[in-house]
Amino acid sequence: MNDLESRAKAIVEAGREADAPKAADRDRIKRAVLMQIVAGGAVASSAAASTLSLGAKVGLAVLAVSVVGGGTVGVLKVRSTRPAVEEHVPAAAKSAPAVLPEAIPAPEEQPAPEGMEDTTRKAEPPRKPAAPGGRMEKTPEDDQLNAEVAVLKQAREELRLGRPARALQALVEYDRRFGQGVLGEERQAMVAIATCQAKPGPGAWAQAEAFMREAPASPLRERVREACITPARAKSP
Amino acid sequence: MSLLSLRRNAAGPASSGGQSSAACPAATDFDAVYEENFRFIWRAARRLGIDLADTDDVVQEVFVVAHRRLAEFEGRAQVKTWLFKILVRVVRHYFRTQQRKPGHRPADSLAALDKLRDHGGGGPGEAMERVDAARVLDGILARLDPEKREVFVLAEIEQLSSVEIAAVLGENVNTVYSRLRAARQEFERAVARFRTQELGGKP
Repeated sequence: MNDLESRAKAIVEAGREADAPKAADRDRIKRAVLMQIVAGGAVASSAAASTLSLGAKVGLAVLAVSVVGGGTVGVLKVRSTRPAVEEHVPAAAKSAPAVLPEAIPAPEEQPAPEGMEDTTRKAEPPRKPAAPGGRMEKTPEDDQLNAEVAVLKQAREELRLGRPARALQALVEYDRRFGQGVLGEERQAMVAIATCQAKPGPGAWAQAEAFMREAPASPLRERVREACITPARAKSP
Repeated sequence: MSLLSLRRNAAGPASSGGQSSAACPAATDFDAVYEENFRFIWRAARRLGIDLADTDDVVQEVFVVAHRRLAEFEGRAQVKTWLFKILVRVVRHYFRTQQRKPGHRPADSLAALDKLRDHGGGGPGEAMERVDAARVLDGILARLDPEKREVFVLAEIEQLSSVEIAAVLGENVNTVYSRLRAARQEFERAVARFRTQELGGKP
C-alpha cells in the first residue's frame, strides 16, 4: 500500500491529538458508565462483576444506593451531552445542602459485623505510569472521588444494617471533609433516607421533598420516595 | 444488592481461575481497561464522525457493552482491537439512528471545512497553524464514504495493522488493503482540494 503523501500526513498528525479528551471527560463518562451498569443490574448476578477493580466496585456500591433494601432503580439511561467542567458538581449539590439533624444522638461505637470491614483503601492496586497518548494520569480529583465514595459507602452500609443514626454520622463526616462534593447528590439522597428512617416526621419529609425538587433527574428519587414519602402518606389520615 | 454481594462476585470466577482471566489477566479489570483505552476510544469516535455533543453517549455505550462482554473476552486479540470492534458497531448504529431522524445533517463537519477557507490571509503553512487542526481533519474525513473513513481512521490515526483492521471490521485483509488504498487516494484528493480552495483557486 502506498503511504500518504507528506501534506496529507501532516494533517493527520496535526489532527490526531488536536482535541484529545480531558480528565474531566474521562471521569464524567466513567461515572455515567458505572451508573448505567448499575441500572442494568449487570453487577448483581453477572460474572462480569469480577471484571471490575475494587475502586469501580466501590463506586458501583455507592451509586447503587437505590437498590439497597430491595428497591429497584427502574430504567435509568444516562444520556449526557458534553457539558462544561462544572457539571462535576451535581445540580442538587450546588444548592443548599440538606440539613443534618442535630437532635439525633451519636450512636454507640459498635464493631462492624464479620465480613463488613472496609478494605477499600488497603486493597487499592498500584497504578501504572501514564503511557504516552494512552492511559491518563491519576488526578487529584480521582483521589477525592475515591475518598467521597468510601465515606458514602460507609453510610450506605449503615443504612443497610438498619443503623440510620450511624449513617448520619458518616454523612456529617462527608460534609466536614468534602462540603458540596462531587457526589453531593448521592449524599443529599442518603441524608434524606437516613433522616426518614431515624426520625420520621415533617423535618425528614421536608428533606426528602427538597431532594425531589432539586434533583429531578436523579436515579435515587425512587429510593427516597420509598423511604420517606410513601410511609409519610401511609401514616397521614 | 449489597457491597458483600459485590465482593462475593468478585471472589468468584476470577479467583477460581476462570477462562477469561486466565486467557488475558490484564483484561479482566474493567477499571484498567477503561483507564487504558478511554482516550483512544474517545478520539476514534470523534474521528469516525460522532458530533462532539454525542461523543459522551457513544463512548459510554462502548464501555457499557465492553463491561457486559468482558468476561467473554478470550484474549485472542488486543483489548484495544476488541474495543474498536465494539466502537465501530456502536458508531454504525449511531449513524443509522441519526439518519432516521428528520433534520439530521450527517456531514456537518463539511461545513466546518468550508468555513476554514474563510480565515483568509497567509500561506498554507500559516493557515494550518491558525485553524483548528482537528476540524480540518474532520472536514476532510467527512468527504470519505463511511467504509473508507473507518479504514482510514483505524489505519492512519489509530495506527492499527491491516490484520487488526480486518478483525475489527470483520473483513478480508485484501478488502482492507484495497479499501485503505482508495481511502488514502480520496483523502489526498480532499487535501489537495482544501489547499487549492485555501489559496483562492477553484477546487
